[in-house]
Amino acid sequence: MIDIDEKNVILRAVNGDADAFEQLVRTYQTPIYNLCLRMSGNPDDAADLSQEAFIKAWRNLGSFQFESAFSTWLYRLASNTCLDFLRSVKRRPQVSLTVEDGDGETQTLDLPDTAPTPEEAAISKEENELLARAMQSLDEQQRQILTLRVVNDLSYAEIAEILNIKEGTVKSRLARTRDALRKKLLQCGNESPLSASKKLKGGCGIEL
Amino acid sequence: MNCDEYLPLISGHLDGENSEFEERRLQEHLQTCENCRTLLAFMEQNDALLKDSTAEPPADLTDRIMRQVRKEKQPKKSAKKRWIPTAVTALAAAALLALVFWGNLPILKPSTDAMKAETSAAYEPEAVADAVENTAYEYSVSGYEAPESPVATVAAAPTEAPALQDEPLENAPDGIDESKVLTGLIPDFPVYSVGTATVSDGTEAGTSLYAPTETGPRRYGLHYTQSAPMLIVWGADSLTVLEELEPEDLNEFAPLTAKLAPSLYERYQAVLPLLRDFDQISPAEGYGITVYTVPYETMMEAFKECAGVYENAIYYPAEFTAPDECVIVLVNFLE
Repeated sequence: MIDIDEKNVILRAVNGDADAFEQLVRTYQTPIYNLCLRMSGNPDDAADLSQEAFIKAWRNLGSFQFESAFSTWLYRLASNTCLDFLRSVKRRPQVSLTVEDGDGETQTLDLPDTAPTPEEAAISKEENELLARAMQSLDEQQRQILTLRVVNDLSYAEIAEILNIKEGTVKSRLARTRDALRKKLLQCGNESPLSASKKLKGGCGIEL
Repeated sequence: MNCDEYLPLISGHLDGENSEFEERRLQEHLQTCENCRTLLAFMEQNDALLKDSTAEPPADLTDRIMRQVRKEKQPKKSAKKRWIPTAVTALAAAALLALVFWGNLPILKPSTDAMKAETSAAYEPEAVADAVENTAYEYSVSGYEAPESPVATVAAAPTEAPALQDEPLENAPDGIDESKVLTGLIPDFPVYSVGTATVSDGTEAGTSLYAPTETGPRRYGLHYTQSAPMLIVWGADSLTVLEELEPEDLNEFAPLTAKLAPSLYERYQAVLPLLRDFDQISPAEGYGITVYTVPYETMMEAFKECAGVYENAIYYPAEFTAPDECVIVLVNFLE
């Protein structure tokens, strides 16, 4: 669904109005950046990929004909950009996170400051880092679909349109992805000194 | 107990996308299965963690993007194209390249040698330039400029396209009424009388038809090639001006065959000056290009209407997946 205001902005952008396009960039930069971040695994690549996606959008606005939502079109463009990048690099994307060791951290994800106590903060960061590592160990299609669903909060219908697959496929792919993620996380627990939580078990099998 | 079958239901529950039936089935199962309850809770937690770790983009990201945007020219829907029913897509751009490269078209193929050069695997950009240059001299198209050659002067319009021969297509199925195809594809497409002509290079065959009109000699033709997934139609009442192509556009034209794709960029480079020159030709001078896009299904249906086996005459390499649209390109002939 495109609301009337956005449609006007898009039409202006299509006709070459850069200020209108800037409005679209500001509207979508956070979800697009997060999609690229989860797919690439590091903020620098995510920024570059976001930029590339928006530039492609600018160049190809002429071919946008409102047959889908603008967001769908943009998500498709951005996730294809990420996939092209990942496939061309031919390596596992590197996770630029380190485990906090008490002497200072070099984490690069901006995590919200949710924990009131240092221990809880450490656990929260720990969980996030483990999760990030587990995500990066999934294959790119799994990262893509889980990000679109959970981070970008898109419905099965929207995801089906973006990925050009059936809704049933979206459902089964998400189920398999969540299961794969769970297995990775279970493998990962023992590295952490704070593995008091019951879900952290077993040795970490994630290769970076 | 094998709970694998409940994974999609658990996942669907997390997403709020279970049907009533599925949700009920899941809840019934959860009442008796601690394993799945734990699983659901675990996955729910992971989801929450993932969602909570949303990051802010760098503060300067928008500025970086807009700096580049403002440097670039405007998006491709330009005022020049106001007479075109739909936007020219990358598909259309490649069709225009097809016009130039696989030119089984009178305007660009005065001789079979050029055709062979165009369609052989060992493609030489110079061959196209040669063909184009020959064409320019033969047809004296005004404003049409081959690379490093002067602009040809306008001469009297040829009343016949020399490259067309009045022979039936060797491989064409019988009973094709192409005029029906044209009017089926493009409403109000003017058909006065129809003759069928053939151009063929031996490896690729196309069917052309051309017709005179009451106001003077005009030609339009329907052409298909057996390697390019597009229709190319040319006619005298077309207006279009080409818009500039980006190399990236060609990458998006996925259905190209492996044979064509690697060298396409070089070919594109070779003919880019030629394509750009079209911009400078005003419709009044009688040379231009109009692009229509027609849904692929519509095209196939139209051909099926004409002759049951016609669809087999349009085949494409296995790697090709049918595009959503076929492109019909109309090229003006000089009058």
